[in-house]
Amino acid sequence: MIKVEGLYHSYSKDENYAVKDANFEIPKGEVFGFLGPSGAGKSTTQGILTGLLQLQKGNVTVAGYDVKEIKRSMFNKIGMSFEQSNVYSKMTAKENLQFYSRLFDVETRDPGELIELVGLDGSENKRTGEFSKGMKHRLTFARSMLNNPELWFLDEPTTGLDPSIAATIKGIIKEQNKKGVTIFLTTHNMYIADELCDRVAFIVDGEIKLIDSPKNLKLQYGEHLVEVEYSKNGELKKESFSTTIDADKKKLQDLIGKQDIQTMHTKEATLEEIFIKVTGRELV
Amino acid sequence: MKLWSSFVKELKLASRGFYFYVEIVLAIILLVVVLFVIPNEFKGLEDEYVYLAGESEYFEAYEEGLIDSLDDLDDKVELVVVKNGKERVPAELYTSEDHNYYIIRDKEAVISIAENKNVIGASIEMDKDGFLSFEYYMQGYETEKLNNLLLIFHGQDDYLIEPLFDAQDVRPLSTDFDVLTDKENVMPSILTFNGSLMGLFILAAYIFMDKKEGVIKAYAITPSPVWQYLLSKVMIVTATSIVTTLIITLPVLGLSINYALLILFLLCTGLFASAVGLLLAGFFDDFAKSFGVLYMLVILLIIPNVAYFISGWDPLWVKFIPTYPMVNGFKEILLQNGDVSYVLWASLGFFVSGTILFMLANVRYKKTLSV
Repeated sequence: MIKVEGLYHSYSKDENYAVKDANFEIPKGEVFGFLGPSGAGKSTTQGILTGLLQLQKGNVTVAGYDVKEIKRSMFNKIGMSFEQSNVYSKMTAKENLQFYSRLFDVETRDPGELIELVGLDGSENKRTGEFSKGMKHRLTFARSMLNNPELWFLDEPTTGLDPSIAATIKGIIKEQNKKGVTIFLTTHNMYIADELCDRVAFIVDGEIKLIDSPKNLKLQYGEHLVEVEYSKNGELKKESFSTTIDADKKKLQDLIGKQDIQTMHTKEATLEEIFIKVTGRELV
Repeated sequence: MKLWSSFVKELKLASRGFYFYVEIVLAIILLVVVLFVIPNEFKGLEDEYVYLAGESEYFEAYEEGLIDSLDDLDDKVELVVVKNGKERVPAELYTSEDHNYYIIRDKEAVISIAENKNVIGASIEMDKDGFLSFEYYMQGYETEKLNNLLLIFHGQDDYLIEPLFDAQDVRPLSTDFDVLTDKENVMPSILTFNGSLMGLFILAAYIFMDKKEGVIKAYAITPSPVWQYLLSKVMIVTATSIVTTLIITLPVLGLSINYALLILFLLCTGLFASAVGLLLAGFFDDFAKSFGVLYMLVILLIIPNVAYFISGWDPLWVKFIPTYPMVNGFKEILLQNGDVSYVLWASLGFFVSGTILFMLANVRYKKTLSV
């Protein structure tokens, strides 16, 4: 669905690259996470893929279209939910979606249905200038689904949302993916990426450092340990056992059989820890 | 269809926004000013203060002469008091169509009035040989021409000058012309700024509002081309300028002008002005950042207006400023036998240059979309 080869981009049109030699491919139906701290080049890459920024160097194909010479029909196939909500504040939620729906050449979804889907029903006839930040964000998210996109760009889709609404949004994303929609997710939230993405790319200073699935990364970079807390003679004790050494495995089995286990955790690394380990940078 | 949707959207935004009503209110204010404040003809009465010295019989003869020669409106002398600071100076007032002549018997008072009121004073006395002596109290800003005229006028006897005046052959080059009243004469200037140039600022304001809300980015990732987004803005601004122009012209000029020609000219000048606004807004993020350039542009565009009202000042370079053909185009539309071909050529010029600027703006917007 997306193919990027040797992508470079410089805002100052010199050697000071915001994106440097990016290469990746996203097959149809995948949820691909683009992870990195602020200023890493995530939005720049996404801007080039969506045609908001002009391609300077490299080869980029999006939904079968060469980004070098973008055809307007490409936008019938893609949807984009922006990090910063961008809706007309003097128009109602419904008017906003109705207006944008008329700009597509393909069948579009009913604005009322989308408003309901993101939990804005009851506010459809309110001007969005009266909306909270979260409500505007949900409307921006709903707008990105108007044309039933095959390829869906999501920029920080749950930022600023309360946990229950964020869960709804994540549910919608999963539902769309089940229908075969390819998703390009840009975020610095590793938990969202871990939960939603089939593969993730770590980008720092414009360079992609690594691309893999969260599961593989955890296996590769996590510690193969189980940490157990148990009580013995009224005293709380704590021990770690390797999941790969036979002697440790046996000890663990014995402990489970004989002692009163309080807590037991595998010592998997989080994506955030792996990111720091791989890039040497924090996700801020 | 997409363009129409964008236009309808712009219509909604304009009707719910501030700037649309600013334009309407401004048009109504201008209408009130033109209807009730600006007269059909300006009649400025100039005051002149004259000290007249001599025997009483001379005065009587002089007064009669003044009434006859000045064509005094009521054929009689009016006794008045002229305020000169705290002082009250008695005077005889003669009123002609364009002047108030105050004859004052106190020479010092005339000099003082000339100083305090910054006007020209005159003293007319009889010298010892029985000849009239004229003394003028000038302000220093008078032209060389006026000074020379006074010298010639008093340096020659009337009988020598008058035949020369009479011998001057004055032939009109054209008699087939129409003259606007003073009220009508201010209309081209008002229409240029209200009808066309307001569009420049309003369009820039609309773009800056959209930039602030980030909606242009959302538009850019739809199949609708950016030029349609830009054109819908031009359409709403031009439509508003036609409405506000009609608010002013219909009550002031009635149906006496060629409205088809006026609307054609408004469409073309509106396209040009809003394309300038589009292009300008494409280089800045908000109004504050564009203020310096906007201000200089306003100053430049005002210059042809000065040339319009000062008939003796019309240098070639002013004619290249777009507001010059705008003002003169509106003037030709207002004249009963105006030059239609001038309006049509100017319309074509504005249409072509407006289209080129619009295309440049389109390229600029496509290039400067940011993430």
